[in-house]
Amino acid sequence: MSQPTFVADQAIKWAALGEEALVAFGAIAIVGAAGLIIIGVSRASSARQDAQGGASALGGVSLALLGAVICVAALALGFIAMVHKSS
Amino acid sequence: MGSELLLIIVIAVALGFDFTNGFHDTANAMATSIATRALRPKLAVLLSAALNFAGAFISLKVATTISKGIVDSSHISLNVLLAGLIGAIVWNLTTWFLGLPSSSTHALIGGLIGAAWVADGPSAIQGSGVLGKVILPGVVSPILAGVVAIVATFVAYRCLRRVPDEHGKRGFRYGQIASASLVSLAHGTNDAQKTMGVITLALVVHGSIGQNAAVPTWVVLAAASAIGLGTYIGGWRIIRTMGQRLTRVEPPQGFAAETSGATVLLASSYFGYPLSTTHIVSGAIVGSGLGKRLADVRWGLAGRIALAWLVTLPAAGLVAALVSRGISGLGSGTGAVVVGLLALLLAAALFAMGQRRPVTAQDV
Repeated sequence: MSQPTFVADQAIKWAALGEEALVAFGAIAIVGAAGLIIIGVSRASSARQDAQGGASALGGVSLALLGAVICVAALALGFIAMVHKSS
Repeated sequence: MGSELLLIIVIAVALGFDFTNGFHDTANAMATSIATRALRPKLAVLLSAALNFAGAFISLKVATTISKGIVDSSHISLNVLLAGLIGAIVWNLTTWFLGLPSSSTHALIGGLIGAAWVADGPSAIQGSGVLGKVILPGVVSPILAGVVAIVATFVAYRCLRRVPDEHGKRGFRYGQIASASLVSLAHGTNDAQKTMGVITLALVVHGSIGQNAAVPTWVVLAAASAIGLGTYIGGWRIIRTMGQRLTRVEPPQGFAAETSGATVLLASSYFGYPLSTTHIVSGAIVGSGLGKRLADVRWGLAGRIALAWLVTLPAAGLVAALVSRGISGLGSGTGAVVVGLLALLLAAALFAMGQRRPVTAQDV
């Protein structure tokens, strides 16, 4: 016996919708990465002001750099998605 | 009256639609950046206009598929395109006057459906395409963007716990400029192409270019210029609604909303799932309000916006159906001229009504 086919199943690209929803949650990682930049810059600047030494400032800068790399990568991916879009 | 004149009218009205699309959707990218003072209002619309213009040149992949899978292509005529465009413009101007963000894409699709239905009957409409490409995305997109924005806003505020308030807000203001710019660029890529699609379709229907011809360069330039100019004019009424009235937006919320919106928008483009920028960004702004503190959203206004979304397709379709009937009643050429002039008068009247209580850059 054949399975009933619903109009919605023919019309809606369920797989694309699922993939899209997964990728959309990447926004949370981007916001987190921006948060890392802010925390890193703030720590580095406080360490410099309080003369806490290089290690603390370096930690802040590293954190900010990590966040910046993630954000730049996300921007690049966004641009690639724009150029290679399929809809 | 020659078909050349009808073609010229269709192209002019299509560019008029593109212009309204621009100023109607400026808010999508820039409302939150203006609300948090990440950018001054005039600078924000200038930046958005430039990026919308640039975005129109990035990809031409979908320029000829605006009605694909929704209206049977054999039923598309210059009259149908003209009536559909007028229906969309009237709805865009009406919602602009009311300060409600609504989808220009849905207005255009509604217009084409209404016009084709009147011209050739319901067989001209592909119901499954309307469901899969318009109705379901219209429901899914604001919910998806809203849920992502709720979590993103929560994360943004968590990150700021150990940072001086001013450092955090300044940092997210810079981030907002980047995320809003990405939304503007993506908007230009998606929305300018709809007009390119309509004009190219008109040229194909008229026989000026072949079925598989590339989008002519002058069409790309004209569409990019119209949407850029419209964006620069700035739909201040809608910017005020999205940036100030829907929820009170702070820089972490603005960044979370725009980043969520941009990600959902670009993911949908990449995976071939057609979503409306307006629906996505509106959903994300509501989500950013909920993510900070529950009930920080004006639900009455959100309900009115949702109602406008529900009505967009039938309302634009109804206007287009009336226009289509008018054109066929008066005869193709004469009808097009008369209806075109009437549409121009109606647009001027709506603008004049808007000027009685103007909303400007100083009000946002």
